[in-house]
Amino acid sequence: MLDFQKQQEALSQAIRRGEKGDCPEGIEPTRLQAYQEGFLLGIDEIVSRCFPILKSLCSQGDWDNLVARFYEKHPMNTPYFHEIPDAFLAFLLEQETLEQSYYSELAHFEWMELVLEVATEALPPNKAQMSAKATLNLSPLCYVLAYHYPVHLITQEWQPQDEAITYLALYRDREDALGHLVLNDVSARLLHLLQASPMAATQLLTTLANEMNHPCVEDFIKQNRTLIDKLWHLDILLVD
Amino acid sequence: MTIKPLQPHMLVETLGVCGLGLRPEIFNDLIECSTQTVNFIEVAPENWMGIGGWRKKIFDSYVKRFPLACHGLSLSIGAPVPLDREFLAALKTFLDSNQVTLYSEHLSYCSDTQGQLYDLMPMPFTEEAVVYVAERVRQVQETLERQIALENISYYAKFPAPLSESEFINAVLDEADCLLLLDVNNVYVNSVNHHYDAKDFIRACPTERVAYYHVAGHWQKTPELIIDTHGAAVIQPVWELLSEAYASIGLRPTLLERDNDVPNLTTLLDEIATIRALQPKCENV
Repeated sequence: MLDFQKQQEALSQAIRRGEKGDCPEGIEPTRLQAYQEGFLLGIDEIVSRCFPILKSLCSQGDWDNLVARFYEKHPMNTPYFHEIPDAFLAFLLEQETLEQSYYSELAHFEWMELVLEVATEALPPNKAQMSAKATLNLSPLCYVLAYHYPVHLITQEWQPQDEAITYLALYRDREDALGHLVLNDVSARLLHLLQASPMAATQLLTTLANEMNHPCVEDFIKQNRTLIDKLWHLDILLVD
Repeated sequence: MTIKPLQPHMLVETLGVCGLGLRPEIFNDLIECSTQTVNFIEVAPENWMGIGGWRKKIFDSYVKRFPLACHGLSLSIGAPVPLDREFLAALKTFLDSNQVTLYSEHLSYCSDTQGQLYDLMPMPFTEEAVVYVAERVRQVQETLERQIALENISYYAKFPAPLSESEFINAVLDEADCLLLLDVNNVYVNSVNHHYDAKDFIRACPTERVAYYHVAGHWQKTPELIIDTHGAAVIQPVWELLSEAYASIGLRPTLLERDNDVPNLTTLLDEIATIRALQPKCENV
């Protein structure tokens, strides 16, 4: 390392270490402090924007500590600011001492919302009509997610006491609006089947009825036509 | 590989003379604004590369309407670690596909051996650093196949080093054969923070290498320390420095930066009008 690079590294490491950092030789302590405060504030703003609910569950002190530890310790290499939350999530998943076990799942859900919001995939501009024979696809802008907790319900006022397996479809429609749909066993399995391979509605529902040992396949198809229509309406299912 | 040279005086024709940074707070209003009033917009490419959805639609609608200048944040031209080649390749595609005439960055570093810090730190003003940075600027210009402009950053701490800020910057520009984005607010901020004469700094800039101006507001934290927040209106002494730059260097595209506590567009346009009033007359605009 060249001499001036040692100076650079001493300053950047002292900024990261915050109050614990030794002031590099020749640098005024009050000026180092200006850097420490300003840089941390910038990162805090970016992380807070992506994880507003997680932040609302933490005390200000706990949140500040978490962000400061993240900034000090976690290596970040992406040049893109919208990918900083990826690194924060990875950091959270490494933490063994999170206050609540659902924090990391909540953070994952909030992060997935950002990922979906900026995803570069686009839906075909015209919505094709639904028919019994048309091939159905799962939208590339729909993520089927499984959690141990109902992360979509968590707020500062309501937090889960017990685990409750939760399946969610997080989707972005043609108008770029985000939505989520709580899935039951049938709808979750239906989306998983489509994720594996596109198929027509009748074939899809027949496969599902057989898998579930339903006594009457025809009844099952009839009962679940409205589900298919609803998923198509929401742009979760696309028609070829 | 060839580096396409950028003629500073030509930029006035391609971009115009008054520009505004594209911010979420003004997405809805700025798109309606006449290009006679706001001639061009500026964005940080790192905030728009690889982005889809509603942001992409907004971005495309702006690029269709306004000439675009790009002002980067993550290049880390002075860092003690290798340049991010993958990023540079993606950046070239982005600049080419959006017909960006001017790409500028900061003469600073924002990463070290641990990774990114996502904010700007000053260079040690040494001869060794001049040679190192200039070589990296040449590599970037070759990869992007265009001349780039580097900004004089605002800084709060100064490393013990033999060169003055002005000597350091001018040596890098010369050695790398690149251009200067002169941020007149930063000149003011640094002149207070590090006790030098702001007008002397401006008069020492190599006229033929100055491509573009930035002007902004700041936060006077203590009488001795100004923080460059881009979060307030431009103050009178900074307007005077901008006049000084127009007089001693000449007319260049001038961008109003406002990134925090962003007021409504009408208020920003008042500041754009002030910029225009200070500008020397130019026949082509």
